[in-house]
Amino acid sequence: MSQAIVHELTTSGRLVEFIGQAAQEALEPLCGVPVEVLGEAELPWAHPPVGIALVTVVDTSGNGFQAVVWLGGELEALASLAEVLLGERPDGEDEMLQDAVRELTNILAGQMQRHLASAGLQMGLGLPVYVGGAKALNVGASLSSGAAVHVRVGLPDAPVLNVGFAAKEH
Amino acid sequence: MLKVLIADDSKMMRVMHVRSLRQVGYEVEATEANNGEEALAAFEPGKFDLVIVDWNMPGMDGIEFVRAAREKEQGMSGRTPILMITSQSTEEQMLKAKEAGVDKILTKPVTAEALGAALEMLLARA
Repeated sequence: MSQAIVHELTTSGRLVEFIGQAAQEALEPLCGVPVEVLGEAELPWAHPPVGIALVTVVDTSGNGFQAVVWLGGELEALASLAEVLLGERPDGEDEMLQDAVRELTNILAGQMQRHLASAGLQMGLGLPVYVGGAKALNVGASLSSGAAVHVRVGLPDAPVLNVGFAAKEH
Repeated sequence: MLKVLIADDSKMMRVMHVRSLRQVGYEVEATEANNGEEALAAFEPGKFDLVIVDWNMPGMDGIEFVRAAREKEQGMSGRTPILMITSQSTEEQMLKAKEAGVDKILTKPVTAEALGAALEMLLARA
């Protein structure tokens, strides 16, 4: 049932819309600038950005359905985002930057949770995990059903992020 | 001076909550906790004017903390206002938080204005 809903959302293009809207809803109030959805992107597993955080979301009806929500970007983009939120620029990929990316992903996942609920999917959120500097993310074919978008945050250096949602295949 | 206990596993969120409270005019004395256990160790009935707590934290989560904090207040006069600021946004989760003893829930992202309005309501009620 849950897989079927995700499939319908993916093929109809609504999943891409949800992701773009969720990114705007999560980032615009915090950054105080507009967030522009640039368009669909590839799922990041084969070529992940330098920093990426993932939140596992689980169907609360207990049917075992799982998915992930992520937010990632190159180091400078993530540092710009963290700087506007914290008032100081992180020193490389330090704990401050990782914390900011994890928390932003958590907020993004919350917005996705709301959109998915409107489509009939009741999901609970796990804790965000940060992965830095990975050449590839070894998720195999298990997270191949989903969508990603690039968004540009309206800060002076116009950081671009990869955000998305992918369901785990049974 | 507003004495506030802030429990969130994100340092960024703790910093942002304090900054937002100052932005809307409060002088703040903040005690920070990284999870529910730390928050519960710091919590004493009547010690804080306000508790701000996240839901999802490693170890003891926000809901478990609120239940335990409300137990500590059993038999005491008055109760500390608890504001939950969380990414969780379903109606079922809102109900669960209320049942645990949360007085007000805000869904992230939260602006300074929204935090100020929630606080005004909570402090007026306390």
